[in-house]
Amino acid sequence: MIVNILLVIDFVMLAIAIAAYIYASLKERRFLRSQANQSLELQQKVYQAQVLKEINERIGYSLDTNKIVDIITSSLGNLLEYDTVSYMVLEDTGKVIFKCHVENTVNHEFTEQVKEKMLLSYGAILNRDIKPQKIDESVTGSILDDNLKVKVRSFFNLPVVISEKLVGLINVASKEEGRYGEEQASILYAITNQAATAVSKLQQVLENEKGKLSAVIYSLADGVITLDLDHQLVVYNPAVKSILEIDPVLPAQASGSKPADKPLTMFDIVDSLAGKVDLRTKIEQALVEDKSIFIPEVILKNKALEVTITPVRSSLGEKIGVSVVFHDITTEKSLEKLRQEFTAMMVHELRAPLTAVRWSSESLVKNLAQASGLDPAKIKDTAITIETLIN
Amino acid sequence: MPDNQQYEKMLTDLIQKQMVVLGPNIALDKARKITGLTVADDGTVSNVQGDPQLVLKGVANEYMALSGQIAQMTLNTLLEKYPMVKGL
Repeated sequence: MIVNILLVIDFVMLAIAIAAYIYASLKERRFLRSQANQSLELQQKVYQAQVLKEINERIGYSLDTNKIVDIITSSLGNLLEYDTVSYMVLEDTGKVIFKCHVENTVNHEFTEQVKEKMLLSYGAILNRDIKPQKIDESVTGSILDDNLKVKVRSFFNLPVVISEKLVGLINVASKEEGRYGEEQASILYAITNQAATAVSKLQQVLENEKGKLSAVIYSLADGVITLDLDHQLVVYNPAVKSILEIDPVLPAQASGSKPADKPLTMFDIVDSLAGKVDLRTKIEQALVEDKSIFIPEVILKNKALEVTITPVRSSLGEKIGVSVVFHDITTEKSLEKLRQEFTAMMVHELRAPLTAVRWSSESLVKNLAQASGLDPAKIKDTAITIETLIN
Repeated sequence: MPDNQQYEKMLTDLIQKQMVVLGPNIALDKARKITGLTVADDGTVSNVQGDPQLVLKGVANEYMALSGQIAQMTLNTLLEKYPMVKGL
C-alpha cells in the first residue's frame, strides 16, 4: 500500500517536473522567437538606414540612377538569400543596361531568363514591347557553369520610380522554388520607396535651382552654352541663336508658313563658326589645360565676337563640362572705328592750316622780325607744339 | 454595371500583369490576402465572393501599398481596357 502511495507521489512529482520543464521550454522558445523577430526587425531597420545613408553619401548631387540601384543591390545579401541580383536601366536612346551579379554559380540560361523576365516587366509597366537596340550587358561575381542544370524558379522585381518616372528595375532570382514571399519583398519595396522619395525630393530641389540658374542665363545678353564632357549641349540661352545667327527650323516645316523652333545642337553651333574658329579643338584645349581660353576677335558675317571658354567644375572639384560665352562686340568695334576715322579726319583738317601757319611764321621770322620789333618765333613754336600734339 | 465575370476577367488581368511586373510569388501572395477571392497559381481568378468592386479595390490597394506609382501605371491601362469598371 505504502509502496503504491509512494509510486503515485513519484509519478505526480515526475509529471509536475515534466510539465514545469515543458512550460519553461515553451516560455524560453517564445522568448527566443520574439528575440529573433526583434533581431530581424532591427537588422532590417539597420539595413534600411545603411542604404539610405549610403545613398546620401555616395550619390551627392549627381542623381545617377545606376549608383542608386547599385547601392540597393550591393548590400542585399544582409537581408535575403539569392543566386543572382540584377538591375536594368532603359536609356532614352533605347539602349538597355543590364548588370547581373552572380552570388552562387548558375548557367548562362539562368542569366538570360533573368534578362527576359526583366524586359517583360519593363514592357508591362510601360505598356509596350521593349525591343532594345543595344544591350550593354555585364555579369560579375561567381563564374557561370553551363554544366549545371538550373533555371529561375523564384524571383521578384523591384521597380525604381523617381519623380514619377521608372528609372530602373532590380531583380532578385533564385534556383529554389518559392523562395521569395511577400515578407521579404515588402522590406525591400519599403527601402526602395524611401530611397526613391529622398532622391525625388533632392531632384526637385535641383530642378528648382536649375530653373533659377536657367532664368539668369536666359536673360543674359551674351550667348552662353554649357557642354558636358562628351561635348553634348546641356544648357543654352536664346542669345546664342541671335549672336551666331542660327535659325534652325524643323525640315518638315521649313517651307510652311510658321516654322517651329528646333532645339539647338552642338552641330549647329560648330557649323555657324566653320572657317572662323575651331570650337571643338578650343574646348578640348581648355579641358586638357584646365584653364580659360580667350579668343579676342572672331569676325562672323557682319558681327565681331569675343569668345571665352571655361572648364566647369562641380562643388567637389570634379571636372564636369565646359561653358562658352559669346560676347557680341560689334557695337564696340563700330564705335572704335568711328573714333579712329574722326581722329584721322580731325588730324588732317588741323594739320593743313597749321602747316600754313608754320610756314607763314617762318616767313615772318625771316623778313619782318627786325623791322617790327615783335617776336614771331613764338607763333612758329606754338604751331609746332600743336602739330606735335596732333601727331 | 459590369457583372461578376467581367470583374473576374479584370482581376485576372490585373494579377497576371502584376505577376510579370513584380514576380509571381509576391503578386499571388498579395492577391490571396484579400478575402472572397480565389486565385489559381497562374493568376486566374476563378471566384469572387462579396462585392466585386470592394474586392478589386482591396487587391489594387495591396499592390499600391507595395509600389504606388507602378500599380497606378498598370491600373490606368486596365481601366482604359475596362471602362465599365468604376474608378479605383
